[in-house]
Amino acid sequence: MNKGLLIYDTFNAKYLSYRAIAESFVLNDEYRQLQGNNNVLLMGPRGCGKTTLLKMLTPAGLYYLKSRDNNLKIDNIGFTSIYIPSDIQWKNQLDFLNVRLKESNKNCELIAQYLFAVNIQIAICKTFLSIIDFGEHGSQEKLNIEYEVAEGLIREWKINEVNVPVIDQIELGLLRRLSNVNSIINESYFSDSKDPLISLLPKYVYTEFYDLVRVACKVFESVLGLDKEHKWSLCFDELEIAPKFLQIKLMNYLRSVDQKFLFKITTTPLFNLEDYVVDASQGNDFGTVRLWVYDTNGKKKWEQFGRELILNRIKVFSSDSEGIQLEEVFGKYILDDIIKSELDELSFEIRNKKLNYKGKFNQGTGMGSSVYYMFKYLTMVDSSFKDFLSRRGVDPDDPVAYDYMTSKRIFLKYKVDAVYRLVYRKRGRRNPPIHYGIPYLIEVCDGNPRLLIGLVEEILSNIKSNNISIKIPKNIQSNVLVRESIRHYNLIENYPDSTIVVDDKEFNLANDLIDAIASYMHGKIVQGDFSKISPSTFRVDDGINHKMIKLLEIGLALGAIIYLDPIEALSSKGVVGKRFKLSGFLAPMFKVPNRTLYEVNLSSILNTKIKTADSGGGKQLKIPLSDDWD
Amino acid sequence: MKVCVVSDLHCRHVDFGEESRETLLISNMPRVPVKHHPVSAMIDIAEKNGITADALVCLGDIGDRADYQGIISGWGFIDEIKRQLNAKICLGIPGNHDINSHKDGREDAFEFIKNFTADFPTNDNIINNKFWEEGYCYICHEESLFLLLNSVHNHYDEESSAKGSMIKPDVLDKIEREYDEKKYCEYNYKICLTHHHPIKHSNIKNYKDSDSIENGDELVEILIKKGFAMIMHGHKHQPRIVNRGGMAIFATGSFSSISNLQSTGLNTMFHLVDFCEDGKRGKIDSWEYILNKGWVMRLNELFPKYIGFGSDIEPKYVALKINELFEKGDGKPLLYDHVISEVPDVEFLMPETLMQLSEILKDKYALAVDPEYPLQPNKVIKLLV
Repeated sequence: MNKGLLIYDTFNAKYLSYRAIAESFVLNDEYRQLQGNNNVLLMGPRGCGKTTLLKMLTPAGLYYLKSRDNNLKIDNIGFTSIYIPSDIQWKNQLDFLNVRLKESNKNCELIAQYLFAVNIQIAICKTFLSIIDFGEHGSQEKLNIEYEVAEGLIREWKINEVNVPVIDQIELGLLRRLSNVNSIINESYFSDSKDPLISLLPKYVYTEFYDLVRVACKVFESVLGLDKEHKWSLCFDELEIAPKFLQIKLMNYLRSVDQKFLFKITTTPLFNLEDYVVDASQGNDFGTVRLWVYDTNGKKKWEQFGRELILNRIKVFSSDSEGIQLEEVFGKYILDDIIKSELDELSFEIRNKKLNYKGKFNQGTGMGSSVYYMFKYLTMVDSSFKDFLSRRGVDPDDPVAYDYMTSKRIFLKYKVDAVYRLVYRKRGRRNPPIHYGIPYLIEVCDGNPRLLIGLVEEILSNIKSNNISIKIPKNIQSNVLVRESIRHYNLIENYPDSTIVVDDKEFNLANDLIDAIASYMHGKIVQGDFSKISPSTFRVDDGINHKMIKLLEIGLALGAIIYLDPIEALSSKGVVGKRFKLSGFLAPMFKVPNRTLYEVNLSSILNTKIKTADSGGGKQLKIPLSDDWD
Repeated sequence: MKVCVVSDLHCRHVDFGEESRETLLISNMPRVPVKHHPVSAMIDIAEKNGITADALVCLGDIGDRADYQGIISGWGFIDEIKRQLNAKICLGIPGNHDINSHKDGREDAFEFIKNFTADFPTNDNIINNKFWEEGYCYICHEESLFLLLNSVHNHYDEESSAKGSMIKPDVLDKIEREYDEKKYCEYNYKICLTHHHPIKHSNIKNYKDSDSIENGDELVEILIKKGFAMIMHGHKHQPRIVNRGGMAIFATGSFSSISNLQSTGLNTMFHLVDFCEDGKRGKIDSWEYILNKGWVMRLNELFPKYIGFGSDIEPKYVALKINELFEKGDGKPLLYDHVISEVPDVEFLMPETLMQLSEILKDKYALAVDPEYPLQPNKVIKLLV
């Protein structure tokens, strides 16, 4: 432990979040990729761990990671990271200026850039202070360094109004300047001043953020005697909430020739360039790190990572968890167990006389297997399923796979769909105990640690901490997951940008768009006639109303839909032409399986809704499907 | 000698469907989650941090608006805290909320508070009788002398309580005579406990201060003369400490009443007053209660978590010493630890004196401390010209 660390009264509070994150941080491949000496776009929906990864690159994060485990291989990072959070106020302020002040775009952009620059200056102050705090120098030396750095920053940033050379005071000085600029803007608006706003603004609003960064780092390097080649990484978090022109400006820095500064930028799973042009290209100028599950390899890695995350939470929850296996706590997710409990609930007449089911299964897909009994039962209650088997040469009265290909292409491929039909079709079941166990609980989170941690903590809160060795009942896990699924849906529904108004009608991402997609899939997979190509993914085809496209982009950022086949990181068409699936976490609420088979065009889904509504079944789509009608 | 101060609990019971808007301590609220219950949370933090005290004092308003259930439970909570702190002595005094001066058709205003337990305000029956009859009593415990004043002695009905609190001249006279006759001067730690404030105390939000103790200035004069180190009082809810003739007058924060605290930047508090062996100087540690977080020590310049008292050192002298130390270091920042080791008394300066010191340092020597007084600084630096 660093001896000088606690000389600062504020130390603990200031770094608390870094310490807390480091304590439960699980190192993964994505973190290692971020450590490379290159520009990186870190992409993913909310909650996928972007902020955590960036914070663990900073001096404070690295310090606490090393304190936790000295053996962690994190010493080879060739740069010092400055963590720069975004501020929702930038966008709000820009909107305010555009609407209320009727200022030219150029002037509004100037103010937005100034806000952006101040944010970076504050981030630099915090980083410099943390490097000093966590450094190896003695207490007196730390004071001297801070003094010299602060003196240099005041000089180079020309903050003459600050006369106490302390980094915290510089931060205060910057905030006072910000407040001053806000006052000028308000005064200009409320006083009906004839002077254009631009003439009232102080000189410092014109400063370019990159220049401020360069001089600040130069000052710091010079005081600490760092190598001239010392690298810095500017870690921009939540860029999606910044105005678009700022996002594009930063994207262009990815092409920067100045290798002294690396850019690590977080953004949503797909960056929509709209009409802008970015010179930087994926592969040449920047790498991408994607933080969601979109392929089999990612699914495997996420399961491993998810297991470690859950074990960490269990350790926090119970001191008596050493050596515990997750399956001992949550059970193993086995479809045959679900089939068994469903068949066990059938009447004696059906079980014994019609199915000849004795409460036990044989292995595989032959006679007496779980699939055999399930298919046999479904053919009794579902004529479309019976037709489906008949057309594929499987005897509906004796559904046995006689060869490997039939077993694989019919029995195993459609087993999950069949289970959902067995559990939900034409049955008013609110919450059957089918959402439980490992790896199911991990899989539904689609690579999102925040969802997984929240889910596990909710499940654990249902048991006493000294009883961790007792398996948590399936119905408890299932109830919690459905409840959390609904809560996730509500969060998406109530997100400020989730509702748009068209012709005085509100159109909501969750209860108009996601509902339409999920209901369509539930209808196709579970309730309607059985089809070999029931879709569980959708493609956003051309001609969809641009307002819906915007909502889908918000849905993507919120993790309501998951981007599949992600090849492009930056796209001028955004989500159009791309394939998506519904979030696995919403699947329990909508009673659809979390799988990625077959696709359908979004326009087909929405047209079905329109036709169904026209024939009196369900609500009409509130806004036109395509722009042609807008 | 350490004294833990828990004042103005305003404990009350709440009927089903009723809401409590002025206190965080409800007698019939659940004890878990621990951090949601001020007493459970205090016991928790005391246990985790090994907080102990020689004495526990409660400066009145145990209950809220003469809520009998609240008073019984509140004193029960005090007893629980005493056991956790391992305090040898526990003293209380009544506040205006502990007596039924509004009567409401019920019994004598003092009937309940005098009889709800045998251990209030002290565990000595004879002393208690004297307290209720004469409006004051002395308690001697080891090296400590506590003067307990009943500032609601004259609140026997609505009309009398509306006149405010007072100490009659004959009571002041008795206090002085008893002190002399019984040679209480021999006690090292002399502390006066009262509910109302003996000097004017304007609240942050400028409520008119109309209920300070009548003749309080005379009381202060007597106690200064007799060498008391501190008067502790409750009632105001907003903490403050000031120096009067070398004696500290400490308005303690309320433990769980939130009235008068909204939008002030202050939270409810409890304090641990640690007296030095000289019986005059000492330090006060304060914890603030944050819902969902429990009791925490915060950087709060309105009433810092660490405060000193009892030093009579001149701020001009301290400023001079700081400048001398600074100049020895060739203008480089000076660790505040050096200041403390060279001028140890600086730790016992009250916030008002520290603010004077800050001004002198800036104006005369172009020096600043960081963080600024009254917070505890970690460095002294030269101001940029």
